[in-house]
Amino acid sequence: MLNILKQLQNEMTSKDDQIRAKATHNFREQLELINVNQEESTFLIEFFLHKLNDPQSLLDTTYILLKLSKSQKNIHPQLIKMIQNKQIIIPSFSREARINLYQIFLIYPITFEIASAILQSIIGEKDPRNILVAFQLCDAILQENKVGIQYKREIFEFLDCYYPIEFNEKADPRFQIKKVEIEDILNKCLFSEVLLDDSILLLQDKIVSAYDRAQGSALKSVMWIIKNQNKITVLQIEEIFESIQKLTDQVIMDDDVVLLIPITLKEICNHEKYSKVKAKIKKISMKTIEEIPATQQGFIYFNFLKLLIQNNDEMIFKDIIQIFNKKFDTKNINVTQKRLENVIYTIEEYKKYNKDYISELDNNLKLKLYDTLQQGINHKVQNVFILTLKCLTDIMKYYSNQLSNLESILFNQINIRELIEQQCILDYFSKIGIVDIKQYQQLLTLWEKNNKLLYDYSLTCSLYNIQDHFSQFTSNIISNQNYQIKQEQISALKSYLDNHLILQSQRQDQAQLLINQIYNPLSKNIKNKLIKQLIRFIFQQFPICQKIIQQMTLEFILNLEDEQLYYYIPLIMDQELNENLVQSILEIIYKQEFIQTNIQINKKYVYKVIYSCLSKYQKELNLEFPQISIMEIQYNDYKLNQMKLFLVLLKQQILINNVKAIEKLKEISQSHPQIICEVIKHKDIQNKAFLQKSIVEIIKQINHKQTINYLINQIDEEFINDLVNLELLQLIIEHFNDKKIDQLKQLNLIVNWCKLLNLKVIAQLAKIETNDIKVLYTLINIVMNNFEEAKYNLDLYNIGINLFKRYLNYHKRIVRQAAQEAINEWYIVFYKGL
Amino acid sequence: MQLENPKPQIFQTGNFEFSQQYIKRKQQEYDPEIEDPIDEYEIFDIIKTIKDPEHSFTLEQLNIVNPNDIQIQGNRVIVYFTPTIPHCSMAQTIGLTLKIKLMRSLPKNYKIYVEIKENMHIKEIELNKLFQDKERVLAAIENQQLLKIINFGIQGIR
Repeated sequence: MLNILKQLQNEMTSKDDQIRAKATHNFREQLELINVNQEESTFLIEFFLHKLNDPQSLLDTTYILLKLSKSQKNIHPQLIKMIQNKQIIIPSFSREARINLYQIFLIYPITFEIASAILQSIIGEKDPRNILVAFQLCDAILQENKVGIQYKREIFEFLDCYYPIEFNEKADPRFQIKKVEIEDILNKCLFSEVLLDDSILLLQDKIVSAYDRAQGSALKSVMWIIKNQNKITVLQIEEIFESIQKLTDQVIMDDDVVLLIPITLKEICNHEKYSKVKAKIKKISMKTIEEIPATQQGFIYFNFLKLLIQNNDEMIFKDIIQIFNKKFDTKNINVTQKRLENVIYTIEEYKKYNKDYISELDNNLKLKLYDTLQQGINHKVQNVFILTLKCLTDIMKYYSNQLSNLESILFNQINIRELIEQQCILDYFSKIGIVDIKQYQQLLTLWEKNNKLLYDYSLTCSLYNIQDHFSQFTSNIISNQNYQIKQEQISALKSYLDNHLILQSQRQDQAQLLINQIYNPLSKNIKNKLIKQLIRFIFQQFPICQKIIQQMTLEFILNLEDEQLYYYIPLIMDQELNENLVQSILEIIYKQEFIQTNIQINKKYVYKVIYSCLSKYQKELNLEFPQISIMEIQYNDYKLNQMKLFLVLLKQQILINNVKAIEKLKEISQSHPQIICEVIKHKDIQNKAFLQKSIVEIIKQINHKQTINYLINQIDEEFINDLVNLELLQLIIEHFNDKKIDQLKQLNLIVNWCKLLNLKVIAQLAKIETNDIKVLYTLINIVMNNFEEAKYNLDLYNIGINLFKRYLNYHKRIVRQAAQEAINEWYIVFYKGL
Repeated sequence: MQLENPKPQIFQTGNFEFSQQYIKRKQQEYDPEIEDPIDEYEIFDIIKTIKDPEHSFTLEQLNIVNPNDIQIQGNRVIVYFTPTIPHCSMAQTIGLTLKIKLMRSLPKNYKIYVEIKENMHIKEIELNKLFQDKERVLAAIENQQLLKIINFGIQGIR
């Protein structure tokens, strides 16, 4: 390498900036190929440290220094000296130069001098990629206890302004770092043993701050600390809990924070060390739901108690019932409702984790609970009544001696209640069962004549209790227009068909009854999603679909109406198909005159049927297209979906070089440019040069402005990689004269992924004339961001500076200020005067 | 290195931002129909963040520049600045920094005059002549060390 340096000596020391820059770049390229020994690298490092004062070669110099440093055991003292004497000021360098220097520091073990140099270098860091490395450096310093303690104050002052960090990883794909990564390392540094005491105070501040995001981040940090930091004391956790308590006293606007608080409290309770704090939290939670259950605080603490149920040894049901019995007050409706809901949700949680809740109650409590609920059963307010009934549904199986008593109360009330309350009573009966069937049948007879709606609904419970009504029930299920009743009925039927206590043959007969009614060609079915789901359920349970499948040929399908076809689709998706059907569909794909077939597939569900068939055998047929569900999200209009199906067929034709297909593609792309993009992205087309050529020709001939704009919108990494055609990309750029901000950002993507086109894109941007402030701002930002990488290309620099200077006498101040800032920054980085 | 003025007086910043005129001016900035002329406040915004070569304070904080000491006559911009002490050796650097930043930040057709305020410095006449002489200014920034200091001042970090 020393010889290479000697050869480049004249160029390295030339007065011309560009020659020096090129020479350094050459040296860098050579360094990639050759290994350097320690002696050589020491000398080279010293040479290049001095070269840090040459801004034109800065980037390459820093990269060279990084490469050379890897073969050194210790950091070169000259570097530390230069930083300390301010001969080089790292914060004034460009981003890549800074990160290269940070990475040099990462190589070596931390000493006091290195730590001091690091802290001077990372001040004011803004770029997320660099910030991540800066945090890693802080972490390295803190790992060395003595050094960390010495520089405790400086490190804390550097870190605390970043906390809590807000980073949008989707905003710029160049960053390639995740939010979690950056948050983790910041937490690791801030809440390390050295900084813990100061950081806890900061944390408490942020928990009670008025800013939602700060609250959320602080709570997440608490969870992080509990998982990862052993040195935190019980007293500190208590103080944190007090801050959380203060937070719950405020009105919290952010729903995420409201959900996060119980999770954080649960994390604290999970730790054995903090059992004292856990007891305190539990006590305060119970007190809150006793006194103010219908508030945000009550909601938060109740959610915490719900989460606590997950732990095997936690028993809170007894406390909740005690509070309920003590404080069930039917005067304040909101509070009453809330108390009932608390009991219901607690029981739900217990059931979720298969825990026995009733065994926590002694006999007295059990009796008192039933007595309290009696107050609710006789309540006039609808919600209170319904919630009480729901509660009773959950617990009545433990009160078998009270069943008939409650039943007679409900029978007495059922005809004087509102419809929804009546339905709730019927739901109760269908779940708990009926003791006095005779009375129920009398009611049924009464409703059949006077209350059709209630009668329909009551058939749901009949399923469990009175077999005679089954066929009526079945026909009712199909024709009933009331969504809620239909849902209930279908749910009841599913439970019946799934009940293995009833004979298989009996259940199958009932299922067959329903299927015959639906697939009867004479019956006029109305499309219903619930029925479709029911059909799928039945075919999974019982083998009764063979007959229907046998009759399904392509001709049969093409002759059916859409409403009838609708119920054939579940069959196609789930069952093995008729070979004849599959064969007929294949013929459509490979027939030469396939374009004519398009006319036949003009009904909404015919295309769906064919598409579903093709989806099923995608792999075997070597076809690739998105799932039907994804397609329907993309295109609402079924005609476009038909077009997509047509495109699948078209693509297959193109692959076998069908000239007619290519002509058709040309015709369609003028009006449907999205199709061209899909064809470009098709994997099989990548390997076929003749096809690529045809596609390039097609795009060149597109005159339609909207099409070109659409193509620009589609520019992404996949598009560029698949196209692999610079000429075409240049063509697209030249056509670009749109001033919309989104379009400008698309152009930005080209610069990111295809550096060769940098100059062209920037030159094109420089031509844009617009009066829109936002567009100007975006333009300036795009150029600034991209020049970050391409700064050392003098051509780009010149064009860029000229672009900004144009806006110095723009009539709006905001634009002038943005341009002024950009120009000054560049002059500084590029080390120019004027 | 001993500081010439170890305890400079620090002034409160942004006092004029509460005036009606300034508030109205700020509101107009967001209206694309209304033209924003280059005024004294804009010139002041360009130069106020420049850092003093000796201290870590800005020119605004040290009251070296002030919006009342800026005049605009057509496309002529005249900026008067007040060094902290009459024998301040940094006056030349400050003046050059002001001149360079304004030359970078304003359109080419603007003529920029930077002067030390009357009777505020012992070498007032000499330095004012330097700031007016374009050739001498360009020659001065050929000096890399001086350019470094000017750029640090403009960037605002030490």
